[in-house]
This record gives sequence, structure tokens and C-alpha cells, in this order.
Amino acid sequence: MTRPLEGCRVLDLGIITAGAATSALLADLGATVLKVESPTYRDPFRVWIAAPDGKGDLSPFFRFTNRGKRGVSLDLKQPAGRDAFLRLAVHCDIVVENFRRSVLDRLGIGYAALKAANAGIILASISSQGETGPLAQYVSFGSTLEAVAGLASLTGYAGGPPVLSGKEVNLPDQNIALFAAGMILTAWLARRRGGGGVHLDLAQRELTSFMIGEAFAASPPLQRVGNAEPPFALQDCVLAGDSRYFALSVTEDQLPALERLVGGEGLLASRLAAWTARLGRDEAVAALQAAGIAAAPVLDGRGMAAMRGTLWSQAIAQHPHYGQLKGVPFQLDGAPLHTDGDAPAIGADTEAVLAEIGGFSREEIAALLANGAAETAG
Amino acid sequence: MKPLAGTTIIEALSADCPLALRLSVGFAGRLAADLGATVVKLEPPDGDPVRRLPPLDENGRSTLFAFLNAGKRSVLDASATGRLVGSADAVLRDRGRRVPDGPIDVELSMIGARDAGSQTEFTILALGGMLDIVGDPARQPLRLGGHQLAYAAGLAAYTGLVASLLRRPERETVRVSLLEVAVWINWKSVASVAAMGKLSTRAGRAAEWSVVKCKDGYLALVHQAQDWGGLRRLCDDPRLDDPLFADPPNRAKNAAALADVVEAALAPMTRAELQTRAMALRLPLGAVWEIGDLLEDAQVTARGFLALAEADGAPIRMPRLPVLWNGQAFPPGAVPGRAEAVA
Repeated sequence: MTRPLEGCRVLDLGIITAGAATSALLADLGATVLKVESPTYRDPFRVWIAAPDGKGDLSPFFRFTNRGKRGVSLDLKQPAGRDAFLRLAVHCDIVVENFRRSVLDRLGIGYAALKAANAGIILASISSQGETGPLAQYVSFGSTLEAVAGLASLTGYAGGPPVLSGKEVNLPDQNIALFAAGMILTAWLARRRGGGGVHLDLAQRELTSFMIGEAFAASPPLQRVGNAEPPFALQDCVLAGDSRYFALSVTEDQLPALERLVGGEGLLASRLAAWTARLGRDEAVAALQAAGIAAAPVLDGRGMAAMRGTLWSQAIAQHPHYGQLKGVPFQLDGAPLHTDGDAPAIGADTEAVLAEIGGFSREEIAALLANGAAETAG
Repeated sequence: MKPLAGTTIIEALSADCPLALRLSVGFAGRLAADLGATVVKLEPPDGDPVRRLPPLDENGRSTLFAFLNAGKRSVLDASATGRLVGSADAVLRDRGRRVPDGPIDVELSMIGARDAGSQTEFTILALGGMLDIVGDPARQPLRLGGHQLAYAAGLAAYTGLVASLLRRPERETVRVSLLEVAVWINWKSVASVAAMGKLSTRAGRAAEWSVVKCKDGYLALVHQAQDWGGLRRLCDDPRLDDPLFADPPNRAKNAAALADVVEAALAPMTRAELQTRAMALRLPLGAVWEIGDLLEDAQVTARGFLALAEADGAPIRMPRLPVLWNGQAFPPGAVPGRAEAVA
């Protein structure tokens, strides 16, 4: 039942979603993840949205993305803090970061410094545009990337402006966590097969373009077409009589069945609308499904959450004390991925981690704390 | 040597495999092929249906098939392939396909073992809350372009596959459900409801981050509290001093009005100018580039991101794998022609 990354240690400099969610997935896979913050720089996700009353001091978004990690606080701008980080790196395997480019080098913990401390280290650098090129210094949040990578130009109603997944979904940041975790596991596997350390240069813009990879040779260029999509003869969201939407996808072969189902005369779209107006959303979905046509209610966040245990179960975890936390995107039968514990307070485990993993003496730790090069919770 | 050299992966699909899972499996296999694995795609005698699906290139070939299958070997799916499957390291398959015991088993499904009737990528997006949250509140829910969910499931399948390679010699079954992936991606909607009782839904122009027009196209207006000073400098418009925009909660509440002001202020500027100014001001704004713009883009070119994959007739343009490995790129391999028979 040993999970794939048991025994593997991660120094997590990841912030907000892209970096922090990558490390969270590594924790689910069994790694020990040390979330490193600084007395002078917190993960902005701690205050992205307010913590609800009575649920402790952690913002829900931070909790969802950092559960199962240990908390370390080191001031990387102080030489003693930087040296402590590099000493931890000697005993760790993976570093994850998504700062602005050049920050890591300026702090003295870039790939060269990490490699000097630990030749086998795997550094995953997640950035907007990559390590190189004229836009290397460009900053972004997820939906910026949808724009610059081409995805927004393909998203929207026919004839309308481009549309973003927006702040609530921020799709590129979710995707990079899946991809970066996959590349880190690949580098770890290669290292076990005799390879050395690796610097992974992961550009979120490139991943976002890769996720529409078929568009780059399309001729004529693809347009915004709303919900239509080949090979379906008809695909859209339709408003039912109870003012709720359902989604349907109909193939060419299924058009006669749909026409029989909706009855009437004239254009199929207006016949479908007339038929739908007489039915509730769920009735319409049931009737379409009975005719063998793909259909589903368009659920909002509440409706989707209510399907936990019915249609899905793993993607969000239910913790006995902390309520719902982010779950896992896939599952292994032999060594189930799981989420261990809450997200850490700032520096909650600084002393324990320095002692147990870094081999720091009690005196050394006291000196770091006294100088403000390290910080403990409370 | 590429990191997955020496690893053999088979793609095996049932005859009635849903299209979405064909794309997910293909995507996962493409990642593995780029990274050096030998990926063998089993194809029915009449070919993978994706070969006939748009988009098409100027020569009428499916760019969808080319993108998903570059670097793979294609073999006719027949009884003789059982031995091939048995000796592989891993199999990527849909739930309807049975394969012999032995290799790592990566099973993709629409909704796991649950029977939820007939589903497509689009209807799973509906169930996962990912349609409701995109688009204009006065219009129908909207899907994102391309095959975002099918490909994200492909990312999950690839990551699960490599996780299982790490656990060998133990035999492993990896399970990927399209709906679980959708919910995992859309976790903020669950977190907002569960922790704050706040329902997120599509807000169109009133969304905190939306799209505004500029001189030659559109700009994604993405900003956080720390970007306000820079945004004001960029726009240089006294209307932004209005108390409506005094602090982040007010800017969120009055996002549509804010977008109107920004749009008017930026109207004389081109996307290229805005991109240059945004970088100077460290603003996370995004010029909305069309695919044609990206073919000439300086950053894309400098990093060699677009490659030409060998294919029958003429090479096909497509992105390389979006990672540099100690600076090294993994260009896509050749697109397989018709499936070969295996002895």
C-alpha cells in the first residue's frame, strides 16, 4: 500500500494555485511536503478570500490547496535563512516554485545553487512564459494565459467577443498542477533509473496552448462557435420550462430519434424549444436519455457539490474536523491517494523540520529564530 | 536519453468508446511518446474515428488526429495483439475495453463505475458545473474552446500512469473519471459553497476578470489588489478615482462599470502596445491573441514552441511538449500513417 512518493521530500515555494496545487498533489501521492513561507512574504492565497467566521484563521482557498503540508518559515532574504533553506535542500528531493522569473536566483537559491547543494535535486519552475525569451518577465494569473495562449480566441458565442474561464475557475492554474506533477514524477522515475537532477522549465502559457494543440494547423482558422462541436449535429444548452438549463449532444444518426421525440413541424431548433418549454429540466433530460441521446442538467456549484457520493466522490475530500478539502483527480487501487491533515499555520513546523530533516542543533535553531531568519507559529 | 525510453505503453479502446475518452487516451499517450516511451496505438481496420474528425489542415488531414498521435506506432487491433498487450508496461484503455492481466492498467471512464446513461464531454462539463460558470448570465451557459476536459483527464491519466511505474513491480489499476476531473478543476465552486455559502455562476461583463476591446482586438482585464496602482497609470483616466472603485470589494461589485472605463481608456492602444506596457508595469493583463498571431509571436518563436511533425504528404505544425528539461525540448515524432498488421 506504499504510495508512489513515500519517502520523497518536497520544498514547496509554490504560491496561490499553480505552484501550491502541484505540491498538494505530490503530498496526496505520498511525499512529505514542506511549505516554505517567509516572515516577510506569505502565500497570497492565505488572504485571497476571507476566512469564514468560526472556521479558524485559514481562508478556504488556502486550506483547499495546502492541506497535508508542513509549515516552515524562513527569511530567504537573510543569508542565514538562505543557508538554512539550502541545508534543507541537501535532504530533500524536489523543489517547486512559481515566483516571478529571476526571484529565485536573486535569493541565491536558483538551480545552480540548489544543484551545488544536492546534485540530484529536481527543480520545477512554473512560470507564465518560461525561463527564456523576450516575455520571460511577464506576470500573469490563470485567465491572462487563456488570452495570450489562444484559448480565449476560441471561446465565446458565435460572432461575440472572446470569453475567459474567469477568476472562479482559472483553468490554466488547475491544468498546470496536473501537468507539473506528471513531469516531476517522470523526472523522479528517470532519476531512479539512473538519471541525475533536472531543472524543469514549465511555461503555463505553453501548456495552455498545448491544450488546444490541434488548432495550430487548422485551415481555415477556428472561430468562436458557442457550444457547437463536431461531430455532433446539435450541441447546446437549452432552457427548460422550469427556467433551468440542460445540455445535450446529438449525433447525425440520432437526429431522427430526436425529431420523433419532440414532434411538431418546422425547424428542429424551434420544435426542440417548444417541446422543452412544456417540460421541467430533469424531465427533458430523462426523456432524451430514454431515447439514447446524451443529456444532462447544467448544474451550478451547489448542484454539483450535492452530487458528491452519487456521481462523484474523490475530487473533494471530506475531513472530519476541517470539512471539505481538495481531493484527488485520479485514483490508484493499490495505494489510494489521500489527504493527510489540515493546512499549516505559518511556521507551524519550522523547528521540527529544521531538527528532523535538516539536522539542525537546538542552538542553531535558537540562533535562526533570534535573528528572525526563521519564524515559528504563534 | 529521454526519460521514458524503454517503457512500452499500449492504447486499447473498445469499439463503442466515447469520443471524449478517445481524446483523453490519445492525449496521455502523446505526452508519453514525446518523453521517449514506445506508444503503440491499436486501431480498428477502418481506422480511429478521430482520423476523420475536424479540424482539418489545408490538405484535408485531421489536425486533431495528428496532434494526439504524433510519435506513436499504429497497429491493427486484432487477436494477435494480445501478446503485445501482455508484454507492455502499461495499457491506457476505456472502461468498456478488457485487457489481459499484467501491465499497469489505466482505466478511463466518463463517470466511473456509475451508470449515468449516455454522456459526452459536453454533458459531463454540465454535471461538473463547468458550463454554468462560463459565459453571459443573460445567455446560455458556454463551453471553453477545444477539448479542455478530455485533455485534462489525459493529464490526470498520464500522471497516474507514471505514479504507477514508480510502484512497480506491484501491479496497479489507475482510475480516471472525466466527471471527477471536472469537479477537481472546478474546486473553487465547491469551496465557495461549502465554506462561505457563496454560489459562483457566470457573470459575463460583471465578472471580476473579463475581456475589454482595444484598438486592434481584445484584452483580458485580469488584476488583483496590488495591480490597482499600475492599472490606474496604464489607463490614466480620472474616472477611476470614482468611489465606485475605491477598494477591491467595490471594484468587484462594480466590475462591469470598471470594465467600461478601462475599455474607453485603452481604446486607442493596440494589443502589442498594451502587452509592452503591462510588462513594464508588471500587470497581469493578457492580449487576446488569435492562433494566427501566435504563429509569428516573438516569445513562441524564441522558445521554439511550435514544431513541425513528420506526416504522410507534408509536415504538420503543432506545439511541442510544454516543458524544457535542463533546457532540452522534446519535439513531436512522426504522425502514424495507416495501421500496420502485427505478426
